[in-house]
Amino acid sequence: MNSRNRITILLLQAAPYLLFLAILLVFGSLSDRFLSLANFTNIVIQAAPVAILAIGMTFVLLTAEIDLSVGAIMYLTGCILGLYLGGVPWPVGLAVVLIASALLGAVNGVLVAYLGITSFIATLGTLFIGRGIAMSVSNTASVYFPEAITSLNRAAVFGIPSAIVAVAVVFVIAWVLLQQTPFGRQVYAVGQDRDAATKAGLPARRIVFFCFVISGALAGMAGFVSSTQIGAITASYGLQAEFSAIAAAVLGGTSLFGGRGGVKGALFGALLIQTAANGLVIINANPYIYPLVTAGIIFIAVAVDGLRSRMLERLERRFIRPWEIA
Amino acid sequence: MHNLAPWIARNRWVWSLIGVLILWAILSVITDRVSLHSLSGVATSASFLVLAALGQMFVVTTGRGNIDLSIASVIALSAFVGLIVIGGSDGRIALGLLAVLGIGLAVGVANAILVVLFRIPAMIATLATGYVLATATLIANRSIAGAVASPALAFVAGGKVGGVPVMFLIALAAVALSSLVLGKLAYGRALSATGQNARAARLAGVRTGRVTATAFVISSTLAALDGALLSAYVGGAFLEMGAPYLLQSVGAVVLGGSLIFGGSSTAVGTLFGCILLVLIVTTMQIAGLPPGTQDIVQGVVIIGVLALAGRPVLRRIARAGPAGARAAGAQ
Repeated sequence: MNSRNRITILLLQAAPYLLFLAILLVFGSLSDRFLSLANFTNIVIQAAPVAILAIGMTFVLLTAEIDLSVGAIMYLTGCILGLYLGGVPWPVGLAVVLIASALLGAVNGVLVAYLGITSFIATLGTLFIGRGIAMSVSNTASVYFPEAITSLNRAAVFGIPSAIVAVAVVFVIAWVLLQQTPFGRQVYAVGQDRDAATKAGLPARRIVFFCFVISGALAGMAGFVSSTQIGAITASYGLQAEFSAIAAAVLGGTSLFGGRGGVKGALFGALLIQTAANGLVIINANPYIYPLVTAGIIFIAVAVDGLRSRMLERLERRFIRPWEIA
Repeated sequence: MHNLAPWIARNRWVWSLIGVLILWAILSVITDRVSLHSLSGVATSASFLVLAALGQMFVVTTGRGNIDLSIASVIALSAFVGLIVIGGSDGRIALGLLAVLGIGLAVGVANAILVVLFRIPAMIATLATGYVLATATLIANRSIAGAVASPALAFVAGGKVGGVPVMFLIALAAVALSSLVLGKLAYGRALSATGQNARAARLAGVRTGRVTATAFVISSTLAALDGALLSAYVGGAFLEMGAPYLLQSVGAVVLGGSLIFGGSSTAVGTLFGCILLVLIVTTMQIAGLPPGTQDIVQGVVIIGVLALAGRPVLRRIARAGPAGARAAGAQ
């Protein structure tokens, strides 16, 4: 491989990080408050719910499926938490939320893995159903969370804010599960080539099923974290959260077509979007340009990723593992 | 009668028609208020969904999981722009429609460039263009001051000819035209070929990039027209105006029997899919069920129809190979 190709690939590979660096430099030069530890802590706290959602979504995307129902799961389990679990200690509330959301994820899993309904449609259906149930139990009124839940927002473990602890715990568990266990390797195998994985003896259906359970449970977790932050939810809560999660995961290099990506990317993607949003707030930018900047970041990151995979594809015709040569 | 099963497999829109008839029967039983008046209300609401869903159908047909998530934002923006440009006077309708068509074309071309040229997955690309459009809508929202719809456009959107809503006639014409394009025109054939196997289509000389790009332009243009008509119908515009059309358009397409993987679509089915979804909402409202119930039923119906109708067809295609896919192909 000639050195020009090598440099191009290295550049493309590093592009999301360069983008991140550029954002830091631009906002850092515009405001001295931006590059402070306090502000970074803020960014991670604000990004926490989307990061957790995106980590769960990564499991589903890796198997070449998609989960549109995560926003609905957030809303429904939020209603359960606020309406019925007001008096219980928060660990019980969290446990109930996790179990309920894992069950909802299991419903998706059964529909997709065992009944063979396309995940896009099945989870679109459960999105409607989940939001519908949530709207009827809450009567579309605002649901308020008790002090026991909202006080968690100010809680800290060894001085680390609770939301960051939550993201860290979720990330470590998900990373170990995906990178260090047979299950994780099987998830990648199923996503790369489901037929081949099945022929090699992998229980493809069960693996897809569990990925939906994980995505559901983490949607519940994300909902719980954001409940502690906002204190009350309305009928529009969690709307289109699935798209934020997908965008964050894809931004971090996870393919929509399965088999490529990881939870590190999901965390990075969520942080990247939130860092830009936070920077815009700090420099008092016109709120109208927030979505433009978000869209721009997504465009650049995904287009660069597409360039890189096409280049690798081209080089694969001459080299077996071009990314290693690079 | 032994020909019935393959015929149903070829004409998957039958399932959505059956759904419509069953709901219609339920509606007649639970209430005596099913009048021609409420029927035309259903027809009008469905018609607005039909225009958006037909566009969505073209994009879905191109395969590769392509989908147009910018529809909702296009509808909202063109609703605002339509109202602002026309300003309630019939003389400026042409100008307004031109502006709205310009939005549709521009967004469609932008989506096409992102998806075809930059190869960004459609779900991400159209989501991002949606963000951009939402910003434009916010700005339009500031410059609108108590706009009223022009009488002529309001008649097109809400009026009736011989008891039939004009909007429904427009929707029927759009369905007929789409059926013609899908089934009889070279473009429709190229579209199905692209969706079934883009590589084979390309080798066979189909310019798949252009075909896909055209589908995105059709989708945005239809959504833009839909938005202008919708604003004339409700006599105003608001930011969340297009939101319901995002997922309902996808729902209507697959309920109608088009394959979400692309390559095989039916415009007639999309029409019935739209009517089915709107009937569900109407039934729930007439029956006075609590809020949320209509969403639950919509979700159950989407999953149910797909579980019933989708799988045997897919299995048939898998077994029969490309020939089977063609047989189950464009209507």
